[in-house]
This record gives sequence, structure tokens and C-alpha cells, in this order.
Amino acid sequence: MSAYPVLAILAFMVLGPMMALLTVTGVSVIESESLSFWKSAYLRRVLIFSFWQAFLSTALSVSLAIIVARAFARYGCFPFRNLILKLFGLPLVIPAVVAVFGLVSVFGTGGWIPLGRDLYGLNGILLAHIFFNLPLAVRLLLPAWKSIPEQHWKLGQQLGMNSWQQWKYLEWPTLRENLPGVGVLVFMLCLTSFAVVLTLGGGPKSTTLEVAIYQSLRFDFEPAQAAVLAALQLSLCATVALISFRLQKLPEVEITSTALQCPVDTNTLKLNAVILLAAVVYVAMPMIAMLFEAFTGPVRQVLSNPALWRSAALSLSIGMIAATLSILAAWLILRSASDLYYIKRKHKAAYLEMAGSIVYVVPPLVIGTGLFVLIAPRFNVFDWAIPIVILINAMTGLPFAIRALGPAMRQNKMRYQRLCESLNLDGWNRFKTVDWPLLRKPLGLAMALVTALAMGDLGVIALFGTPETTTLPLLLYQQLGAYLMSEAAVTAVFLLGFCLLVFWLLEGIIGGRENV
Amino acid sequence: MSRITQVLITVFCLLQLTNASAGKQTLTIYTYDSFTSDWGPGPQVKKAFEEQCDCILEFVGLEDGVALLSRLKLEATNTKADLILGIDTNLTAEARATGLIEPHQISTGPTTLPTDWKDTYFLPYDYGYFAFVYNKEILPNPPTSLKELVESTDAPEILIQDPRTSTPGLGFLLWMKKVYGDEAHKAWVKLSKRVVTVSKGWSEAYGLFLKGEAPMVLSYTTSPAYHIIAEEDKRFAAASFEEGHYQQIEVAGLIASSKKKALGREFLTFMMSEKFQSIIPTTNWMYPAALEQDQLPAAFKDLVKPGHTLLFKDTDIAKNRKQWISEWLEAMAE
Repeated sequence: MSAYPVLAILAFMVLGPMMALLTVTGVSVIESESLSFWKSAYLRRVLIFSFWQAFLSTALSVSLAIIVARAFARYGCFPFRNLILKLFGLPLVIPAVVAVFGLVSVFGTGGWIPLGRDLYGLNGILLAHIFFNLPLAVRLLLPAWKSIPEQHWKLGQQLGMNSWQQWKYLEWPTLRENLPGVGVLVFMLCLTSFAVVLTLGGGPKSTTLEVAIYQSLRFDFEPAQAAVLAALQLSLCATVALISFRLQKLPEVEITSTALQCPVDTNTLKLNAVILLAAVVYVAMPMIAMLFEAFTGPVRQVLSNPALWRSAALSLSIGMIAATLSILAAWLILRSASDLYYIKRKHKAAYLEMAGSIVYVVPPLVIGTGLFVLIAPRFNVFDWAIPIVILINAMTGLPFAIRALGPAMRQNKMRYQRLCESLNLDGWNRFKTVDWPLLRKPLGLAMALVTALAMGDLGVIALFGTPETTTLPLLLYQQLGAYLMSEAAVTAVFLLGFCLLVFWLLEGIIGGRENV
Repeated sequence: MSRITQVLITVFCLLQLTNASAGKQTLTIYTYDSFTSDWGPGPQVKKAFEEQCDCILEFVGLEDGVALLSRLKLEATNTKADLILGIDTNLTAEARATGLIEPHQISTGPTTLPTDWKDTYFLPYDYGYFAFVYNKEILPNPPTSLKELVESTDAPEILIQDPRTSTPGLGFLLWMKKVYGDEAHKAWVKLSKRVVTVSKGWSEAYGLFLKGEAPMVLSYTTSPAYHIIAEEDKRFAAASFEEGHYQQIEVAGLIASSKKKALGREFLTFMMSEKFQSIIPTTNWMYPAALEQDQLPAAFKDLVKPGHTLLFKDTDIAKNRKQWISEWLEAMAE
């Protein structure tokens, strides 16, 4: 089996729902009632708010990230360097709704820095988006400093450049090349952020397109209106994606933290230490506040609730099946891609790998809406909740699986293909003796990562979830929605701990010990 | 790898299956979540009905009344519900128009509503009047009219529910429409400044009110009875408004595609009986729809009685609901 059936399935999974959306939108445009929706002030407001919050989130996250990354790069060697980098990797993998809860325990009523009601709305959305994207942007920007040649720094010192001049002549020119890519990536993430806006915004004043889609399906029972919104969201994302393709220099989302070489130790400033400390506190505080609140909360009551364990079992099943599917698809795509590499058709191979990342352009919620519109008139959509959530999570996990497995599979092919051919090693035997020992580590990482991401996802399940199909993140959202804050604290820590445990177990069992 | 995965998945799939139980017939009722909560009528109703029917009564609790209708429309003839319980007369015309509801064919003789009951599709189980509830110690001088609440500059902040999901939310929207008519949009813009939050269902808003997030919450004239009876706390009261109060009659209906209509009708008959009706006042905190006044708890006698009862015809609401809701959305977003 090659990559093409997988690509066909992917294309079907994306195009089927798109067609359904466009048909419904097409029909609804003809009906005058929906035309008035197109023109409604509400839709305009939702559009403006979607853009505005994404713009502000990006501007704040990236400009703060520049300050933090600069402090980081110029502070030189210090003991907790890699630990901090690991901490900055955390917001990428912890479930969004858990992080939101952490922010609520810091900034909510009764929190350490109570913002009261101002938390719900634009302020809260910005705080959360900075929490997610500042550390990400720091990690994406740091290599820029690494790429400044040592001679340049030396030359700068000889010329007696002060900090501002160094920034102007050495750092900014390098950074400028990376900024648009990072900016577009963060903008896209904020534009399609669902769980954050659902939990912290969502009132009529602070609704984005993604949340408006959810509301039209679940509040208003207006599939046509949802389709209009989804089509709009799709065209927005496609535009942003097009822009990012033209920028060419796109940042790689790193999965594992690579240790940075310590840069030239320029004037070590107390200010840098303060900046770093502030960033660390901002990222760590929600986690600490949440732990604190959970351990003083009704632990026994929450843990003895059978609904919690039912949800946990459901989330784990969804996560593992989605990850298995995702890895299977990644494996097939990458096998074809490395065959192409082997015969030196690198461009075609690269395109093949890129096709697996289609979910970056088509948001999962849009696919979910399309499937909803497709299924609703024919069957009971809520019966389909689990299979759909599994499929869409498998698709969302695919880029990660490809990125985790890709390099190893390529290397494996280039190094051992000849040897295997000459030994006539094929099929299962080859997998057992050659592939498995070499690939089990990246396989373990991919499995662990996709499972954990799928387990913590609050997206499509919000569209399809019912009291009978409540996953852990949905349960947490319901507790948050009912303002049961102390119960939510325990559930949030449980979800986080559960994800980490599963991650650690899968990585250990599949990946084996170090240096196998 | 794959073997471990398989074993784990099989174990969890099996765990899922163990929930299914066999034997007795199950009657599934979609309702709102405060009905099914531990302190709501759900548990007592379930126990009482299961004693007489030799069946299993299963409540599925959704966000609130309007979400019930949305869910039913989405599932249409594929729904698992045999009955829905918890929409109100503001939605009955729209629900009838879906063709998913079966006439109840049950005598409406026992009803004790202020007006005669003529609906052949839905049966009422309780009724009440929307009102803003406040704590007398925190708010000694509550507004005495809806106009004062909306227009006075020093009127208190309020908690309300979303009319797209919640029947009290929808009821308040209609109340505003009754009082302000075409000026409702302007009134909402004014009021929106003092709306602390718009919650999905009644339970969330009331929970926030009790935590002290706002001095007034949209609820019912009967809500203070809960504090008086269950908590012996007399600090809470409902503000009486000069313009009158919007009425809510909560109803249940049989799903046309249900295969257990006989059992469903048995439940509807039970719903009109004294056993069910006497559970309502001190669990759902509403006036029962088929119980004589003298059987009500004493605390109900001291509650606010609205001067006028406001109510739209259900067919008028069905015609305008969508437009009124988008008007509300636009005003709230301003």
C-alpha cells in the first residue's frame, strides 16, 4: 500500500465536508433570509472581532517574545537554561482548556491577581493567547540569534557598539527575516483558536467566527448559517496560508526541545534576568495556581464521580485510536516520500509530506461543521460523535506524526535500502530487524504526542458531544460553564496528569529505554 | 506496539459496553439539567414513576429549554427521546410545526392553570412568572418597574440567560418586547451595559448570583420560596414590576417517532397526577399545573403576585423569534 489511498482518504475527508458546506451556503445565499444574515451587523462584528483579537494577540505575543528571546540570547549561560526552554515547550502540549483554567485561577475572582469580570472577554482571550504563543514565539525566534556569526559580535565589540547599535545592526536584520513567518503562524493559531474563545469569550460581545459556528449549530439550530460562517472562516484561513506560502521562510514547529548553544556573553544585564524571570513566572503561575487550587479542592468528591472515569476512558480510547490511525497514515505517506527521496525526487517527496499538513489550512472545526451538515439530515449526528472526533483528531495529529517520524524514516531508507536489497530482506522480517529498532523511538514519541493532543482536545467534540459522549475536556468545560470552580480545578489537574502519564507510558513502552 | 494498543482499546471498549443493561423497557425523556439535578424533581419523579410502571425512566439533561428544541430539531426522526419535558408555551407553536410531536389524547380536566388549557399536543406540568430576584440586605431598594431597571442610571447590575438556549432568557426577551415594542433594541443597548454575563442556562446564572457576582438575577417570582423553605433564609425576594410579569407555562410532549407511546402516555397521565404535581413546588420551585392552591406550601402564599400577566401568542413568537433574537444579538454586541 502506498501513500495514495491515504491521500485520497484525506482529500475525501476535506473535500466532502467542503462540498456539503458550499452546497448549503449556495442554497442559503439564494434564500433572502440568509442574505440578511450576510449583511447583518452581528456577522460584521464577529468578523471584526475575530481579526482584531488575532491581530492584538499576535502583536503582543510576538513583540514580547522578541524582548524575552533577546534577554535569553544575551544573558549567556545560566544553570536553568534548558529547564526554562522545556517549560516554554509546555503550553504547546497542555490541553487548552486546562491552561484556560490555570489562567482563571490566577486572574479570576478570588485568584491571586483578580481581574474580576474583565477576565471574560477580550482581556482574557489576550492573556490566554499570550500564554500559548509567547513561549512558542520565543522558541521560534531564538535560532535567529544563534545564526548571527560570532565574528559579527566580535566586530561589533571592536567598534564599541552599545546595546542599541548591536540591536540595530546585528540582531534586527537577522530577526527581520524570521518575523513574518512567526507572525503569520501565531496569527493563524489565534484566528482558529476555539477552546480559549469558547471559555473566556463567547458572549455576544466577544465571539469569533469559530465560536459563532459552534453557536449556530448548537444554540440556533441553523446549519445554513453555520455553513456560511465556516465558508468565511475557510476563506480567511486559506488567504493567510497563501500569504505564508509567499513568505517562503516558514518556521518549523519544534516538537522536542533542542539545547541551544550558549551565545557570546555580551554585557550581562540585570534587566535581562528580570525579563526572563517575568516570562517564567507568567508561564508557570497558572500551572502552580491550578495545582494549589486543586489540592485544596474537593478531590475525593470529584474522583469518586463515575462520570469522570467514564470520560477518562472515552478520552483515552479516542486518543489512542486517533493516534494509531494518524501514525498509520503518516507511515504510508512517509514510505512513499522516502522512496521518492531515494530516487532523488526531493520536490515531489516534500509535496507529499506537505499534503499531510492540510489541517493547517482547513481548521478542524470547519471540517466538523461540514460533516455535521452532511450527516444531520440523514442520521442522528450525535451517534456519530465518537468516530468523527477520532477521524478529525487523527487528521490534526498527522502533521506532528509526520514531523516526528519523517527524518528517521528518510535516514533509514537512505542508509539501509541497499543493504536490505542485497540481503533480500523484505516485509515483516525487514520491519522486525531493521525498521523497528531504528524507528521505535520516534514512533513512541509520535504515538505519545498525538494521543495526548487528542485526549486534551476541546474542539469538534463540542459540536457533537452529548451527556452520553462527554470527554474529559468537555467535562471540564461543562464544569467551567457552570462556574463550579473548585470541582473544575481538580478535573483540570486530573486531565493534565492523565495526559502526561499516558504520554510518558506510551513513549516508554513503544520507544523503549534510552539507547536501545 | 500494536498488540498493547489493541489490548488497551479492547479493554476500554468493553468498559463502555458494560453500561448497557437489558430487560425492562426504558423511557427516555429529554429535559433541562436543573430538572435532573440532585435537588431538582428528577430523582423523586424517577423513583415514583418506576414504582408504578415496571420500566426504567431515563432523563437526559440538556443545557436549558430552548436547547431542548434545537436538539430535537437536529435529531428529528432519529431522536432517541420518547418525550420532551421542559419547553414552554413560547416555543410550542414552533415545536408543533416540526411535525415531530404527537397529540397527547389525555384529558386536561385536572389542570389548575389561571387560564384554560386547550393545546392538544402539549400538556403543562408547572407554571410561574419571570422576575428579578435580589438579596434584601445587599439591595434594599430594588427597581419597581422594568423601565426603571432599564433606564435608571443607578439601577443594579444583573445576570441573565441566553435566549438562544434558555427559556428564562427567551422569556425575558419577550418581556422586554411586550413592554418596549419597537423600542426594544434601544432598551437592550442601554441594559447591556449592566449585564454582568449571559449564561447558557438558568442554573449557571443563579449559581453566580448566589456567589455574589451581581445583585440581581433573572429567575422566577417563586424562587425566594426555595430560600425560605429549604434554607430558612428570608433575605431573598423577587422584585415586583409595575408593567406586570411575563408568564411561563412549562410543558411536556410525546415524540411522534417514539416506539413506546403507550408508556409515554402513562408518564403524561402520571405527570398530571397529585403524586408528580406535589413534588414540583419544593423541587422545581414553580406553581404546579394541576394541584389546588390550598395544597401549596405556606411560603408560596407570601410570594409576589404579578399585577398583570404578560404572554405572547405562541404563533406570533414562532413567526418572529429568529428576528427578535438577531435584534438582541446586535444590541448586546454593541
